[in-house]
Amino acid sequence: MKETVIVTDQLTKIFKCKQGFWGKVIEKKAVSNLSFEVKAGEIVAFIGPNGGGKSTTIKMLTSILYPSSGNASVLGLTPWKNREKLVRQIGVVFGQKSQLHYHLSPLDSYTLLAAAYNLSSREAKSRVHELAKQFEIEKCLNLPVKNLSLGQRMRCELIASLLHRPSVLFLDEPTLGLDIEAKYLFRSFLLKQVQKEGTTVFLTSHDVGDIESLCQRILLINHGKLLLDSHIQNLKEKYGAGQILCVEKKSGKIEEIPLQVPTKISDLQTIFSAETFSNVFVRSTDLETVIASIYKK
Amino acid sequence: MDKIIYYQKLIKIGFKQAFALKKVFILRILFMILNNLMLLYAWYLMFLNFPTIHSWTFNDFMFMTGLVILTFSVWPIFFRGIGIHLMRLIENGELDSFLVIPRHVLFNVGCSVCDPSGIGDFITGVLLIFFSGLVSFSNLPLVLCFIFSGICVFLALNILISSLPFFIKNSSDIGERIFFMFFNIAGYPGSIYGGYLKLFFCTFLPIGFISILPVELMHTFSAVTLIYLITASVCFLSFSIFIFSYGLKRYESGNRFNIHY
Repeated sequence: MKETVIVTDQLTKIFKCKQGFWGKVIEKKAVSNLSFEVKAGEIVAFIGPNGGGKSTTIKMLTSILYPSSGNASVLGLTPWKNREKLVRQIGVVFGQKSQLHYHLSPLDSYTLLAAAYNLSSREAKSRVHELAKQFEIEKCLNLPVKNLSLGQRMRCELIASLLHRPSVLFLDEPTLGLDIEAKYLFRSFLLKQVQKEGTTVFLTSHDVGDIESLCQRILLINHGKLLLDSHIQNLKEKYGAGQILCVEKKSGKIEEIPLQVPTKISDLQTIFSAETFSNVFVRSTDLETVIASIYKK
Repeated sequence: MDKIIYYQKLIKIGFKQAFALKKVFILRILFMILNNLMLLYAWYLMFLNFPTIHSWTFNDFMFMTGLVILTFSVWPIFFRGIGIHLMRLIENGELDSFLVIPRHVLFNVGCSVCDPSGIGDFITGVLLIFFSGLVSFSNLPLVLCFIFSGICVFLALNILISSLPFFIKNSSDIGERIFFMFFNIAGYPGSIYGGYLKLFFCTFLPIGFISILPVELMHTFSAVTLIYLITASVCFLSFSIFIFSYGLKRYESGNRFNIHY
């Protein structure tokens, strides 16, 4: 039985904003009574629409924000009570924020981070070398961060987060702004590394490609509430249209027919007889369509 | 020990960043020395006409100015991140990348920026104290105590002001002005503050720990006053760190794109 590494129990965060001349206080519930568990070694996608409460939750779990009520535990520690102890054991990558110093080389930042995590210089050097080789970024280590491409910078960010061999890795939209190739490289390097070291990954992303290629399980949140907790395959089966029969007509038009179980040939007769077709194939519903349909519901 | 190594490396990186622009680095130091000496010259002309101000001579003033400038210089050299930089980080919700590093947020931000003009202040401060004529080998430990308490007071004031954005939105500009107002108050001869004002500056707002009490102690030594000076400075610094840690609970992270500069 795998150990539980992340637990939230009725976690709630309320932001208070003052409005108008008299400063009328308006409360906005960003996260509402959120409860879930993540086991060691799992790669979980934490998804939801903009303003759904994903980043706020991650920030509470990484000790950046204090909750308004409820409890949470990461690796057995309460994030907001044991900040320094916890952040020694976790890694965080924010797509919007950098851990690297802009005018200096990634190597300078790694030296500093290694000292923060109490790694010896020999240990840090070999770890940087190992990760840089794996992420194919060795040539960039001595260049100023300002001269790196976004893809290279994000791989350097990932190295910074993995330097101290964290048990849990939090990724908040790590592929934001990356092009297709950079995204592909980022995902493949990440997957290889976390599988090798058995790291638990908690990922938020709007990119379905990230979720499909990395995660096994999805937690869906909206208006701060957990709407769904499911494995990706179950999600497709439950909310997707299952298998889709695609009929490519000679005109080039493709008609898609959701296949019911069982599907009678007589139901398809009209399509096959009406027009001659050039190709017929079956495909699964893609995750993006499934998630979009859940958002709609 | 590991903390010392870390902050040493952080300060080294801050210097490396500042020294990346070598000419500016050197010019800022030189102009700061010039600026301080010009200010002192203006006061010198004033003391030529009025040899004493409430019993303080030019030498007393020189010692006090040296102490104020020297203790102040520690802030730009080692803790420049505390102040306007930290206030802006809090206001814009950009403390996140510091919060996920296993070190004290306050000192991590503070030591990450270096302002070379502080070296100019440091040099001027040492020269003024040395040439004031009040320092001898026998009272050097006393002067070191004053420097220690002065550093604590300036740092504490800066930390308290830097914590303002946790409690009052968009207060970074006014916070910076308040800090320099305190610096200006400390820059006048301490003897001009008497009665309740002196009491206020030696208790609730301990600017007098830098500008009033040291000169008085140099003339008339009192062990009780010295112990009070050091203990109260350390307590004031601890109080400011407590207020910052309390304020940190109210921190609201933002979603702006940002990077360490």
